[in-house]
Amino acid sequence: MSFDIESIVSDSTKLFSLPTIFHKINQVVNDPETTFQDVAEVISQDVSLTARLLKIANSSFFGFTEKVDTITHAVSVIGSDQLRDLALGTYVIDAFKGMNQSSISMESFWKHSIAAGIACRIIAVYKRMENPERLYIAGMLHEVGRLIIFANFENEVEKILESYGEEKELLCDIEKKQFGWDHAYLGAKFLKAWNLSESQIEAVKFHLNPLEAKTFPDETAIIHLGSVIAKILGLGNSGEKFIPKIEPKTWELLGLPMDLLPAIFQQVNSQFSETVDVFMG
Amino acid sequence: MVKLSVKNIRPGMILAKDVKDLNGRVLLPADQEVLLKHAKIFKKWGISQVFIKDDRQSADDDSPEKRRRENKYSFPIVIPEATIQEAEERCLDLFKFNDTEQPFMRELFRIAVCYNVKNAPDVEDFDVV
Repeated sequence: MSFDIESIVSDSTKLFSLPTIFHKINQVVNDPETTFQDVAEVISQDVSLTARLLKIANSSFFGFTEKVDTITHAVSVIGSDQLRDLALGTYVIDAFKGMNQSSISMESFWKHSIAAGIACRIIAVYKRMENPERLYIAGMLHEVGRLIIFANFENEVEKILESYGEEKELLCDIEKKQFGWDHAYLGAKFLKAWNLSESQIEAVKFHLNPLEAKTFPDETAIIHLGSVIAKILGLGNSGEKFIPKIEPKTWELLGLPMDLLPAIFQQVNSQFSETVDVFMG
Repeated sequence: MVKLSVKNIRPGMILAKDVKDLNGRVLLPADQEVLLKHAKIFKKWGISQVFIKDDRQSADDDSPEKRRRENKYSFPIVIPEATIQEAEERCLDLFKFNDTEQPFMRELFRIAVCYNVKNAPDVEDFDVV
């Protein structure tokens, strides 16, 4: 089988696609003429999405004191871009539901992804970034390339996982040796095909070597650290046994005080089960 | 300065005297930080006790790093030494592709050990600070 990345991406977007309703939501959110009401109406067409978004709006994820009981209300307090991103978060897991995988537990994979997403979002909130939900999604999808590898190269993956146990190398380095690229590079290509934002694509692409990100260094630093935090907390597992090389300069780059670190870990830990419940339930 | 059994060595402790093998060869000089791997080497060379600097003697140094070393993990409850050591070993493995000497990395490693202890069976729940 060819390891040509373009054809892998094009095949994979056919296999794993987002529902039409998501594209409708995206359209209405991107249209400058629309009102909160318009956005809420499109979202409401998907009953299960509506229920999930309300659950998120009322969870520790946001920690609002007031109850959010309608989607219109959610759009006004959370924002339409942000709700679109959260909708994407729920659709992504559905998109990969059909994937039959023996080499990795999908549940564990998404748990790691969600934990990383929460960590990214919390850092983005401390950084006062405009749309922390965007970072949640990028964090949640930072290892989507690995799922695509697992889906396309079952035999190779089996072989890889055998030698992985013996050689004690980082899985991402083995990927590079085997395919000529790693999950970060493939994932970024895939997210480009899914029309995610430039910042999300760059952050995913360079999450393993964050200092190479030139346009969105903050976003990339956040994804790099979010993944490490999820790994340290031992929440879920994406196949990698060890923590890939951490770049301490990313923390300096974000300019946050060191004292904040334990608080970030604590918040990720405390939001984890509820968030998993909403996105995977 | 305190005399400590090698099995009670914790990463972050500072040697007060050179550690020498039976032939007088220096394995690790004074003022060096002892890492877990050093403790293993000491055991291999048959060294059972080492001299460690006593933090209380230099209370004037009030750097956060120094304070952290005094209560390295800031556990709010009493944790059995064996549990801490097991957590450290798991974390050393987890961090094997990383150098944990730099301050940010040291803090990440500390937090990792704390969560490992927190998640260990038979440990009462506590907040990692």
